[in-house]
Amino acid sequence: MIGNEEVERLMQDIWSTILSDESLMPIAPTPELLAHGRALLACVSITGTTNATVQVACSMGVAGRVAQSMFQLDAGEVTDAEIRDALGEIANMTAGNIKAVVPGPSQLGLPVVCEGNDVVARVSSSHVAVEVALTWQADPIVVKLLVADEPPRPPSRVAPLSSPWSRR
Amino acid sequence: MKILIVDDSKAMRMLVRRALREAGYGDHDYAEAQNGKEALEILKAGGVDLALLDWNMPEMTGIEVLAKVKELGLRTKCAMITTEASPDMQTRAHAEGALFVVGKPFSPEIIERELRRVFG
Repeated sequence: MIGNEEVERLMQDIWSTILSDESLMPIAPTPELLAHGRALLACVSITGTTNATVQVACSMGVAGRVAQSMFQLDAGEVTDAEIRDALGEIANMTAGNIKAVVPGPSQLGLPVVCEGNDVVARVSSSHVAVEVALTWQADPIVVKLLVADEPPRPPSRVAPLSSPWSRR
Repeated sequence: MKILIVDDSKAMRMLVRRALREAGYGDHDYAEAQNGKEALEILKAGGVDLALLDWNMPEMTGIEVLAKVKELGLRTKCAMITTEASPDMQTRAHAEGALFVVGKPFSPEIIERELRRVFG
């Protein structure tokens, strides 16, 4: 599987290549990082040998600045659709590069982006395998890899029940 | 040369176009499509020299476009710019006729290197 440091490096690589920005720095993830104000959450699924979901979350302000940089527009010129598209593509690149290093073959889904206050997406029967937080221009970005729990395996053989009755 | 950029993300289409410009291909004609189905219609109409395809798109994927281009005998040169750049996926794309596969995120230098290799 992939670890926190690899995901941090991957995000820094995306930032430096796509946004020409080297200032994305890891910070300690805490539950209240995105607890205030409106946030965007972009999710991309990986299905197949590995079943997982990659989530990239940040404030509307950060997503707007990402979109400004990608579209080379000034503040106020980017539309909500462009902001969602930009963050969705960041999540897509993150998930695609994670998929390349986890057990395969697997397939990548299309990005889904949602917006709200205290936005949290829970994936049932999954656990958080990676959670990293990074700071960009003093605002946090949280990246999670949720991996599906292994289905319970059937017993290889059924053990005979011991009878409470004994024969003589 | 006419270049068709195919990606469901408008941001990515813009980044590819910018990379092409920075790689010295800014003077060419460009067209854009946001999924494989739309791209195939443009390719069937003819006149496209190079199609740069994303892999995962709604309606029709990039690899399905490659297969159709081969099946229909279209002469357009095709390549992929995609997050699906693992060795297995590259082999699959090359088998369907992709001239090169560039992984995302990409730099203009990588695009330039691949285009020079193909077009000299």
